[in-house]
Amino acid sequence: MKTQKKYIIFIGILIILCPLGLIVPHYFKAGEAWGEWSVESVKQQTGHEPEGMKKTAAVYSAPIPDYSMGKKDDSLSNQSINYIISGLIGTGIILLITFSITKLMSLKKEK
Amino acid sequence: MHIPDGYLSPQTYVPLYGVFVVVAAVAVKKVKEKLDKKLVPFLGMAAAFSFLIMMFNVPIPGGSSGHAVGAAIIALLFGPWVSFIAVSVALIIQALVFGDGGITAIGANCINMAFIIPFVSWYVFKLISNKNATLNRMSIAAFIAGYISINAAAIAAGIEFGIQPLIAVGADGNPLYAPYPLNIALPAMAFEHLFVFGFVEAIVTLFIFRYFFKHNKDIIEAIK
Repeated sequence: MKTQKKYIIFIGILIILCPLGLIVPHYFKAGEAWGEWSVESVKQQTGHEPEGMKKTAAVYSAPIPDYSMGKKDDSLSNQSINYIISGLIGTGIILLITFSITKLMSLKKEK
Repeated sequence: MHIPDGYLSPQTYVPLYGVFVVVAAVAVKKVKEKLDKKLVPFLGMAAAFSFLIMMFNVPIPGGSSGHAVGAAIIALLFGPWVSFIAVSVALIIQALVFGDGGITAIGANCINMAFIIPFVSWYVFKLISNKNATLNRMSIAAFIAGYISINAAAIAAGIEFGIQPLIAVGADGNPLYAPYPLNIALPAMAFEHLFVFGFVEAIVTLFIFRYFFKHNKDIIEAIK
């Protein structure tokens, strides 16, 4: 189907261009989003480490933190590659899940 | 706007998880009722689009960065309930796989970005425009719907951040979770969206709306 092909191309373009979301803020020296700092950063800002925050922040660590395989001081080009890989992995998982959801929904409907 | 783990107290994130589960149950029921074959690929595409558009961080030079969510335009194209499901899937994967947004905050983040944005977008658009309106009027409606809806979500997040020092304080009087009170958190979240990120969501909403209007007008739910 023609329209469906267009969407796939559109999603592909977004994946290829997504490193812009990394490079542009870097160029303009913009930091993280407001309220998404690490516990250490909060401690630096306020001079106090919130106890509950420290405990809760440690409950879970994601397999690919910050879309970057965990290397914070990596070069911008390596980060960009990791960013694209993350975009691909995320898109793949999301398509699988949404496909399963719609499958489950339509199965139930037929009964 | 992805609230990380540790910023919300259990008194906040547990009720928000509850609200999320109830809304999700309603959403599944609503979408199931009118699930047709045409919608199946769109749900995946919408979720993938939202996931990817959130990777495009836009900087405030020397300040913070933010991004569009895409939830406003997904709501206009496929209805707010489809948008809720699509954006929730994107947010849950971001939290579980990429640590973007906390797992304790999934309820809060989904309410802010997957519930508030789609429904505000939908009703703002309907308020300004209708199916007989000119394309110009619809475009203005789409732009304003994107702008207001993401600001509504930012205000909700600002309130969730800001009430933490009021409701969760340690024995020593220091905040246990998000440290900034309402008079700091709310303006911080509101202003950056009013002045910058609101326009990012508005422009994304406007352009995609116009594209669909020209090429695939019949599927746009908001003008049916």
